[in-house]
Amino acid sequence: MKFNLNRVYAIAKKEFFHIIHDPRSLLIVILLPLLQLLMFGYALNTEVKDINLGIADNALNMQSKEIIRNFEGSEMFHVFGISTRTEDIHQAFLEQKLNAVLLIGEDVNDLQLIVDGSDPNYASLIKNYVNQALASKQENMLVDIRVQLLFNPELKSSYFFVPGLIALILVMISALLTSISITREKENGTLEQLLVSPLQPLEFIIGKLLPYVFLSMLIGFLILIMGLILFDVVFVGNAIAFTILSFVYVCTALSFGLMISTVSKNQMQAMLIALIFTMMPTLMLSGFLMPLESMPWLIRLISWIVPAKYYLKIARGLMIKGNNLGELLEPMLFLLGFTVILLSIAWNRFAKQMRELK
Amino acid sequence: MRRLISLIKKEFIQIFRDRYMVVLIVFIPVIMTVWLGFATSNELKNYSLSIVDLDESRLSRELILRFSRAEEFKVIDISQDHKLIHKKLYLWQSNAGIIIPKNFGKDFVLNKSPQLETIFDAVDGMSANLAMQSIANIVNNFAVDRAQVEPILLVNERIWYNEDLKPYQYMVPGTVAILVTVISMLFSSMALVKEKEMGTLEQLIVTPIKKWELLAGKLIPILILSLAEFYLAMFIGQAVFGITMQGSYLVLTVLTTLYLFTTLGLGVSISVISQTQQQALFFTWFFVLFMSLLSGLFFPIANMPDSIRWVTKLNPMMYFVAIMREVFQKGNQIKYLLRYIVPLIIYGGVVFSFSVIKFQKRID
Repeated sequence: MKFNLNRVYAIAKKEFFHIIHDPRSLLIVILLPLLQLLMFGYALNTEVKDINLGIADNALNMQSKEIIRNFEGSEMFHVFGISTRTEDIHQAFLEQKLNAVLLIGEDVNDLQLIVDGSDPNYASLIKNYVNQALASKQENMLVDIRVQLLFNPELKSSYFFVPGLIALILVMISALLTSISITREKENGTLEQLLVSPLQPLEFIIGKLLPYVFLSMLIGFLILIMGLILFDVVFVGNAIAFTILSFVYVCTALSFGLMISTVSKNQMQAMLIALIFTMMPTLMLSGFLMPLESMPWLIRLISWIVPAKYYLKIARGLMIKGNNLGELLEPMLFLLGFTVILLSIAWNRFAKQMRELK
Repeated sequence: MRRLISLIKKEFIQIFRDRYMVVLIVFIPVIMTVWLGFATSNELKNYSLSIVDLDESRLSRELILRFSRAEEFKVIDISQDHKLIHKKLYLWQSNAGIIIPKNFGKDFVLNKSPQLETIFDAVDGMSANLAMQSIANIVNNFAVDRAQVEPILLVNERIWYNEDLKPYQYMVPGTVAILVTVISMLFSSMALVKEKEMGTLEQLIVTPIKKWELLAGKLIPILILSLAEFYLAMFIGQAVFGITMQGSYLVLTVLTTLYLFTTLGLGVSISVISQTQQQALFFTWFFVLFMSLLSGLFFPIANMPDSIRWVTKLNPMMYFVAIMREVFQKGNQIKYLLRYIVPLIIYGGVVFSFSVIKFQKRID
């Protein structure tokens, strides 16, 4: 039997009715991502502030007072006095009153910085900022370093996070949507009914995918618009290119969901897989939180199969740098490749399951 | 009591009959712990630099050598064409550029403080900031060495509780927090919705099982399962990364159980308001993502805007992550943890009783 577009259309229509038939679910699916962007967009607006710094001054001279005044004047630090005794410092760390302690020796040049390292990410931030604050006092301008910041001159964190959040929310919502679409039919036993129809497995897979493409694109647009309006992110690139590339990304995510749907036996399994394997890699292995270059080679190797890695480049490239479609060909080809592979797996698995049902 | 035990038995049989699910339950903690443990780093490495050397003197070459030797940077090309830098940054080929001007070496020797131009791709502002500091450090060290002046301030750094700033020491317990949250919430939110959707709730209604027995029978296995996941992930963290526990496992187990009351209560509440497994899934997703990102694990809460910091006070996972950090890294005592424990008790009490009240052993 040949691939028949009418049958694809029929399945798509059925699935579409299925979606709008349940307005409560639809509302949940559309509202929750918007709420998430709203919250995270504000929350991830990170600027270093409120570092509780204890200072013990043993020098008690002009220079040491100057150092303390410098920290007190900074908005990043709250300065507290502390003794040099190790037990006192330990106690202050246990009570979580201080994040770091600066000990000024009798000679001002003898400085010791002790940081509470129980959160190493925060500790290295503190370490850097204390050093920076101290260095700004050094007046040996032996080399004058001029800094020019391209694409994001004010170093706004929203420029960094909003494209990342779009990538994260879009991949999760898309994969979650399709991950249970086939397992639900399996669980409810409606899959057997399809056996008696002339429907081909590929037609079924494509038909299932289509309505979700529209739904995910709609959600994608809503969060993009919200991101642009609320978080004052620029969009310097081409909107059409953005639509095309987002479409490809959404297809990849939906295919991943479909693939999960064909390998899981019930909705519970599908959800567990979809939840863990979209959230974790997208957060950690895409460059969303930390640049991939800083990671060990094995992790960098794994990151090649994380779709969000490519979309992140696309979203940041189009929104902030203003890259054109041709410059983003490589990430697009990767995403297309993933889509084809994932769909083939889904198709294969599904065809096999249908044969077994017979 | 016998009824409760048979119900618990039934739930366990149902979970373990599903071989594939058992594989997932074992596999997920392993992969998550290893993944997150390796994938986090708090320092800059291999930040790619394009250097334009217009001077080509002994000093400029030495400066370049210092950049190539630094772990933070990877010098990908050295050229004489400064127009190249913008293009490279635009095309994602390089993260930053440094232009060493003509007469850099000469001016430096004559103490005329030569200018060094640096250009950053600031889309990732945090990394650009770190790179800026590292470049300043390297250049400063170079200048101090070459000009042979005394450095003004020397800071001796000590990091307590985590001498080498090993990220996994913190991330592994954090991952465990995410893991128990996902497992306990997903399973408990599914527990009732599934019976609703499959129509097996009717069968339970005609049995003499009481409401609390049904609830306890559903939740106790999930509680045990979550704690098992907790120990499995901790064990892997110690086996693979050699993370060290400073506090007591007994304290941590008690506090984890306390935290699980909140997540189980949230799960049951989700199952009460959801009609289908899909709805339950989306609510669970929403809570898990919200709780993880605003827990302080990925972003320090101190850096968030004040309004959001207030929101994080509503996040039970924030307290749990703090407890994990304090007990695991510092071996902190209960008396200093009360500010986290008390909200968790209140939270657990309110959410759990709400879900028990709302949970009905009937069909609308």
